[in-house]
Amino acid sequence: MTPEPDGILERAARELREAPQEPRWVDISNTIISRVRATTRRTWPVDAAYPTAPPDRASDSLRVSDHVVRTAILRALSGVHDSQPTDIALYLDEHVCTGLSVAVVGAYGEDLQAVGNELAAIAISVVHELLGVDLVRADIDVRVDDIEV
Amino acid sequence: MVDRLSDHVLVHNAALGDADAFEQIVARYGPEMFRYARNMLSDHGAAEEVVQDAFVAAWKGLDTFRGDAKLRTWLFSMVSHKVVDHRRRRAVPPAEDWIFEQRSTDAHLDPEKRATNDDFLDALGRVLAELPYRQRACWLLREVEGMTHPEIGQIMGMSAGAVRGQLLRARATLSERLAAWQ
Repeated sequence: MTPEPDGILERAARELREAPQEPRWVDISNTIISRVRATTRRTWPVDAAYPTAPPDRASDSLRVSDHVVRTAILRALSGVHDSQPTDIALYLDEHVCTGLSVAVVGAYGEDLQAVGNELAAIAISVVHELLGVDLVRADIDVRVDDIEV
Repeated sequence: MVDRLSDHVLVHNAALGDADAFEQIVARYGPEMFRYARNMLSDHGAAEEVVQDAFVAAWKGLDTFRGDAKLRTWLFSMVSHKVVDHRRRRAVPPAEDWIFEQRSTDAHLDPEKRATNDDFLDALGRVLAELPYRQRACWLLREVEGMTHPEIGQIMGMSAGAVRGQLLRARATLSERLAAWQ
């Protein structure tokens, strides 16, 4: 079949669009992920307590990257009452975590105050497990930036 | 499952340091970014390098992504910049428009001798490689990647009107150079 005058351009675009996916894409993708995971982003070390430190090692210091803390909180909070965290910031006194700010997109129809309290409770639990720091509800600011209908 | 998460959520999670979310972004947009880089550079190895560099730059710069553009447009901007960087390093002399003012008489465009899709793709690859950079980029982004003129403008740092101009010239040149296949 002979293409129309501009049909050749349509064919050219179609052939490129419909070309099979690069067979080595999985390898390429793995390389990208490896490079990304090896790429350091700016982090800040946060003081943590050894979970089972014997008395004679109590003065040893353990520090955890703020990214690790934020990622752990993100994973724990995502989807709770269909809310989605959009920002998590640690309040720090030098290297000591003294509180958190959590911004979320909430779900329409939810009791936002109750959701905020539940999110705060989960975040407190994560911080305790990860850093050994005991925060209270007043240390956690939960802000609902938007509502998803 | 993170597979079903929207771009919006994936970007937020990745910006908060979630590498798994970024992995989903790579899976979602990587293949088409690679296709674009390969079509722009006509060099498989270079396209691989460029896409890797673009994603690393995106990972580092997620904090600066404000959502003014679509995630896809932003990622294509990254890969477009990396293509330009690569071309600079390789120091490819830019094609001049006058080259395309004469109708091609290349033997390799004879359709009677080259009837298969592979041959057509080979010919298309050669013609694209000879197009001036901006014409080629605009045509690929519009016709293959399905971008709008404003989106292409954001990626290329041009006005939508300038994009239209580049597209017109690209189409005219491609039509002429591929005429033997009609």
